[in-house]
Amino acid sequence: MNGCRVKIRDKSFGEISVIQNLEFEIITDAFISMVGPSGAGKSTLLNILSGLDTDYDGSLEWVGGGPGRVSYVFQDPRLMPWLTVRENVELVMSDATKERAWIDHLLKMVEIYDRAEAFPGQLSGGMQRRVALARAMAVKPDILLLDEPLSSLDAPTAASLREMVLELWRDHSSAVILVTHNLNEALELADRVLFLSKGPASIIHQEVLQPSRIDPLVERDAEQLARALLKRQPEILSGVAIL
Amino acid sequence: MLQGSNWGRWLFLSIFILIWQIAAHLLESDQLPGPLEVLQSLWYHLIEGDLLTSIIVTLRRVVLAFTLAMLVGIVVGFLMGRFPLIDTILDGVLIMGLNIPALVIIILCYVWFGLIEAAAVAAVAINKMPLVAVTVREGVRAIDHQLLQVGEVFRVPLVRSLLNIYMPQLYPYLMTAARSGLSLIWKIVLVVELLGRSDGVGFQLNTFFQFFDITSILAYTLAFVLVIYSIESLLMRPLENYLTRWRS
Repeated sequence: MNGCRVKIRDKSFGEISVIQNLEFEIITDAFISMVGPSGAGKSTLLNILSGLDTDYDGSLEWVGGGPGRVSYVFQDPRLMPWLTVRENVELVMSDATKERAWIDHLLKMVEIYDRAEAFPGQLSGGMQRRVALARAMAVKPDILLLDEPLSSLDAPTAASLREMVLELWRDHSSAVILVTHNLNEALELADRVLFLSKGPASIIHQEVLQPSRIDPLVERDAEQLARALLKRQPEILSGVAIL
Repeated sequence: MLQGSNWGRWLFLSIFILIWQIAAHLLESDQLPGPLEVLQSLWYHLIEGDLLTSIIVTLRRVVLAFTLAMLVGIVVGFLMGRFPLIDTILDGVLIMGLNIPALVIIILCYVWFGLIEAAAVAAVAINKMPLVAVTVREGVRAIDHQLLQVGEVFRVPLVRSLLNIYMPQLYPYLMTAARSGLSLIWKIVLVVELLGRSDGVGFQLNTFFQFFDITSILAYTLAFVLVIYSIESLLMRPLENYLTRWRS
């Protein structure tokens, strides 16, 4: 896959329009953050990108080969409680028996390898999210969708999960789309940040960050970036949380 | 804790048998034989009589009717839970099925299809089916669609998705249907045998009834309760524990 052009003219639920005239491009290796107030249709957008929601006016144009493989880390982990950690990851793979080494590698990456035979109910919330992340990476996606995967986690757990997301992204050529309402998080991780308006959602500002975070040596002071950005573009302030 | 509850069970059982023995001793009547007499009668029927054959014949009917009721009930319940139109169409029939007395269905089956084995099994299955369908329908309605979305996004193949995402959510409902089904079915099978078969536990009970042979009736009852209890504790409960082991 070389990329995907997303064009959504309109997405409505009954009378209420949730997304209008939203266009952007996802290229390989992109790390895009989407920031916007809650209720801005961010999750709806991810549902469209993941193929769960096909009832909209617009198109997803895949560039270079057929539809790419999309995987999704939902806001809640959505693990099957009756399957072990390993079985949860195997569930989504086309041939798990051949790729045992790959599963082991992922479970080690997200530091859950020693709990591979545990059931989700025996894990903490942070651990469950890590399993969900490993599951999403297991299918080697072209595009990885992350729907506020760090919300409701305590600060150190969120920080370590952020590092894991970055590491997985650097190691495997997936494009990542991270939806969040946390400006600092968006600026710290992404190479491009799209700011969405209050519903119906459309892009009101686009911030390209240099140099790319794909270089592990790049350090960013998200707080300082956020302050500067808000001075320059005060209109994005509406509904964005600064933590 | 577990041992404590087992203790309680055995204690209660012992007290029950003791009271039974005392009551039988005081009454000195043929209508209430003591536990020892019943055990002797059980042994006699087992060695000399038809107890084993009767139980096998009855169990065969129980298994057939149970399988039939579960299969049809699951399919109907699934369709009703999944498709509102089918639910609307079949809901009236289901309520009717739940409320028609078992005896009426048995009589109708015998009258319409004759006093044959198939009619007997069908009558029992028809009695049980609506209960299975209702339970499964509730299960399907309670399915977590967010988990189904996981299967959809990751394009999990249909069979794997059914086995790993769909069915585990239905297991508690299926187990409830199976356990309540077993206890209901064996009771109805005895009535069916009493009314229109010439073998099985129900037929034997009818014979003993005609001779007012309460000891044999209690011996047969005890034997059959033990068999059903064994099925419950050796098959159903371990199966349920296995299917819900992730909860512990």
